[in-house]
Amino acid sequence: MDVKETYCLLCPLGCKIGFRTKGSAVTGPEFCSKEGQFGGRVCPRGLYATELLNHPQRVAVPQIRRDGRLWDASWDDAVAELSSRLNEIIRTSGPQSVAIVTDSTRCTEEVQAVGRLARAIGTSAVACVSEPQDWPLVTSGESADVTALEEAGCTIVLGDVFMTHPVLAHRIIDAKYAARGNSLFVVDPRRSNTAWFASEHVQNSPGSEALILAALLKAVRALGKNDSAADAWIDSVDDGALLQAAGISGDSVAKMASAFVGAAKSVIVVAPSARGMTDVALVAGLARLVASAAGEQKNCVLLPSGGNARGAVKVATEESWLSLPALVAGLQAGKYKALLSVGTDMTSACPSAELTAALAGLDMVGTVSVLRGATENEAAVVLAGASWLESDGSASLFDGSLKIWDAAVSPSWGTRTVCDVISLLERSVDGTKEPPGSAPGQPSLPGVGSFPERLEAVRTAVSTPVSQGMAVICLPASGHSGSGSVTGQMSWASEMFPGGFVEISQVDAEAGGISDGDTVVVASESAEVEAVAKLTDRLKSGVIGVPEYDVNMRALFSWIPTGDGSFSTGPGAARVTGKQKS
Amino acid sequence: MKKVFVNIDRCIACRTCSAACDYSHNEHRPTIGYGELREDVRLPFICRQCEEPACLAACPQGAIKKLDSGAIKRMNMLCTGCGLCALACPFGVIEPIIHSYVISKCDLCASRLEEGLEPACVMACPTEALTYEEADEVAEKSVMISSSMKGRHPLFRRV
Repeated sequence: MDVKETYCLLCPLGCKIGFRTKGSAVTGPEFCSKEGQFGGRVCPRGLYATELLNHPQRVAVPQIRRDGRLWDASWDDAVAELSSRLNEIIRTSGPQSVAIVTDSTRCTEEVQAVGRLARAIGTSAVACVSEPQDWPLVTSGESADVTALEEAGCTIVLGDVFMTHPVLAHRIIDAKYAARGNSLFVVDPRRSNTAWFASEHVQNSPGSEALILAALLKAVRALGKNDSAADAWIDSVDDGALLQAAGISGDSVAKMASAFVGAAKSVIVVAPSARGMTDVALVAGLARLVASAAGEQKNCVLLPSGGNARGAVKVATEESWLSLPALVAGLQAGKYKALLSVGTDMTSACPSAELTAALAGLDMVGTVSVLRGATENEAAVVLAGASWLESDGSASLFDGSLKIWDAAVSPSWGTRTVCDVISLLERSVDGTKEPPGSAPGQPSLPGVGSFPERLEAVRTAVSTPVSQGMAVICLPASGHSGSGSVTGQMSWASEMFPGGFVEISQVDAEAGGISDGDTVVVASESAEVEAVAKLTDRLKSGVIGVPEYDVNMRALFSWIPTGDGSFSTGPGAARVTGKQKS
Repeated sequence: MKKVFVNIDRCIACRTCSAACDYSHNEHRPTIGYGELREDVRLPFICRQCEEPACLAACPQGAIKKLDSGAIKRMNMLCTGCGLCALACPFGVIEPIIHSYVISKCDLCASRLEEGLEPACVMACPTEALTYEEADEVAEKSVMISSSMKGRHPLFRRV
């Protein structure tokens, strides 16, 4: 038996994962030595990674669509087919009619290669698929590393970090149990698994995290540790109104502030799910201000969802890529004729009927895929790409540190690494070979000056009654990462963490005549989905929770860019009704 | 003997142990199920490796054996999947859903123990809620905890 080690790219913590190999075959997962950052521990996602190699949905060889069906083909034929179709479209409609997307769970080299291909073609329509919270979280500033969680006397967690990043639980629990006075505050509209461990669970209204942090900043400044003039704007903010909108009492914030300032070492952890935290950039910005206002040894840890979110966003910003919402809007408006999807599945990241129709209406869809997903159903040519386990690469983790690895195994079956595939395409596509002009469309970042206005916008959004029934938030699960485009296909993950349910409070269920296990119809402005009702006392009345890794449930949210060109990260709205018995 | 113990003060119900169990025993379903104590508190059900196992006594095929290490192991080739062991188990840790002809039974990862490794669930647990320890040592620890935490619910001891 031989054990090979590599890193997990399903979330940005960069845990070491191992494989047992026998000859050239991978026989299963193995655990790394109890040394290193996380002591060889993994979460279920890391264990599923071996399944990627021999998955039944794995694209093992390139395929070409003929007569409505995908047929296996040789690499030469598939690349020739894809490039001739791309060349045809470039010749007739121009290079700008080709859109390219890649993913934030690909390694940095692959994202850079996609940028190179876009330049070779001469298109500026290139974007990186990431969860809506990742972009604002990553661009809003640097994050402290995991050592900030060690020996923290006070930890404030925003979101359900034990489900989004389970491996951190060890440090957070250890820090809380280390001494009797240590405290763990969890701010979440749902009594999550993280909240069960909290010394105090602050159950806020959905989307009001920024308001609580603003009130906390004011309280921390009142304790007078680090009286920075730059934060003086907060003193004129009416924290009473903010807390009323957030639905919590001033006592909890006062308690949080005194514990945060009083502890020798404190940390704020921001771990948003795909939907539920309004204006993530503001939340991250305020969390950093609270940490700096509280004095020495106070840190802020920002946790995006994509494995290489920081690396991908860096490349995308440097090369002036389009933002994903702008590209999706362009696709829906019929701006593009062809789409090249490199190792991603847009239809699960931002699912909507309009996007599916837009993809079906394109002249050509080509993909470089590891697993067969919904995009491949529309694809004319599917090239068999290797996963990150089978290629060398590097990634920027959540704290900005760099992980570099060698391929744990050679590419399985007839697959090739994404970088190789892109080099093949670069050679055979006749583009303008000139760098395209820089594209607008990156979401703007909040400066300090705009904080009060943005706070007010959040307060208005939170205190406006939901026009359509109830507020909807996303529920993460430890077995799935992000939209579940990879983990959702793992048989074990979908068995342990099934989708297709909606969590609803006892009070709302009683009012709607819904009992546990009933099939209900959840209807929002974007979609209407059938789901199984799960009655719970974890949520307050007026809030429902849907799994973020279930594509059908994600379609309930609006995937139309907001005013600043980004996807909203706030809670959605939907109505739940019992299904009419026929 | 050494057994797998669960410290529910550290269990975050992430189900990594269950996944680890599944992936290291390709031939059957995982042996770690979950009992819901409360909606947000789940207890992993792990075989206690009883000194006088009821499953062993119940098995009509003699398919359940006690190894030298003390682990109770189900012999695949003898098991007919009758399910009597699942009925007999006083802790309900033997998965009653019977696939093909074998039942799931924790054997403390016998092949891993031979290699000098800990059981897969213990290695994988991200919070160290699962430990592989001598029963006597754990008993000593729990006496210390229970005497210092008088009046608390035994399952919900919180620090």
